[in-house]
Amino acid sequence: MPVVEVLGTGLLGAPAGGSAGIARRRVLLGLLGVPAGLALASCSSGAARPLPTGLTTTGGARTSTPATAPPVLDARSLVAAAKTALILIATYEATIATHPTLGPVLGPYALDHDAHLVALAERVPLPTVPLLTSAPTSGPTGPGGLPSAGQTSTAIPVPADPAGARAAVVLAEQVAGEQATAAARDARDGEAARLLASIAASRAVHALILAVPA
Amino acid sequence: MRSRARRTGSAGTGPTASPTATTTLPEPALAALQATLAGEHAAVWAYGTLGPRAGRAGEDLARSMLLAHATSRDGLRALLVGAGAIPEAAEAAYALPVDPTDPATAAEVAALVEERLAAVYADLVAATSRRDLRTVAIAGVTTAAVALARWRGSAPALPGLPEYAPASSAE
Repeated sequence: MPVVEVLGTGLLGAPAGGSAGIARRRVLLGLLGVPAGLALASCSSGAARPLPTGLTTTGGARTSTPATAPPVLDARSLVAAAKTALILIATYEATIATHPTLGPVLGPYALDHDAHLVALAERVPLPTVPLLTSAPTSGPTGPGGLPSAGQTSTAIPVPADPAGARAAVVLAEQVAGEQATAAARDARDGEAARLLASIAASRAVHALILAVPA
Repeated sequence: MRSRARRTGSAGTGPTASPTATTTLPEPALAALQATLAGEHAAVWAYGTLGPRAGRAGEDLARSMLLAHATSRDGLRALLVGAGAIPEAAEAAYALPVDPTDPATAAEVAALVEERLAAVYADLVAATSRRDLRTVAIAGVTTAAVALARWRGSAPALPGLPEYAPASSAE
């Protein structure tokens, strides 16, 4: 991409992703409640973005032994990061369902959270978030039909105006990024800290990109 | 940009031939910190090289990022000195993977620099549990990822973690 174009808009063009939502849903469904190896294998079939399979170490000399459990304290942080990722995905889903025009902008970034979940699933069992598992219904048509996330199982509120909805996503990403930053700072295990720092960076990028109006 | 993995463990082989035995940092953290400093050295050099080729808007961005990287470099130097270590010196020149001849290639070089820096900072995150270093390292991953996104238009899902990068060798 020519830099002049990037800079001319003052913002970064969103990567194209037509069937992003479908791929994302497949990844999510594959992950929830399924042993990590199986889920990762199943999601690699149709995901829009090549994801680490978890079965073969993709280029990294680091992730050789999935069996090594990080210290308990970090496990809690990693599970919390996964929970936040699930809530972020639900937030994107709800926002896109309410404001379909935001779909092409938001969709690709929601996919990043799927990738975070996949990476986290290599280290800890993913948390179960009620109602997200009941998502195989064909097409979400409104906030009421959407899976909700979070321990409270409340629906994700979406502002009625698109700009406000977009701002709400930005805020959610910012808060989530700060959470991951703090978790990375406090992690005992270096590799856990490294992953959390990367997730924090990704969320910060999302917040920055989406904060600038298209 | 080539990674200059100079070992810091063997004291006396550096150009200054000063021992690093007095450092308060354990070897993994010291090596990662030196590697991060080397990355910032390279970034400063790369931005100085690509800036004039980056086009009107790109040149401004390159200039501001050069200043930011110089500030980061100085901060890392101070951390090393504070820990009793000899900071890694800059190379006279660096081999760039792409020749920045126009705005597009200049942006690509900048993106590659930031991509590599994100990875170096991520390694520093893993290599130290010292709180001030961790904080610097985490911020470094985020800063590089944001810069990468500004040059390339997007950042990978997991910045700084090349083992999760899409396996495609496209482009």
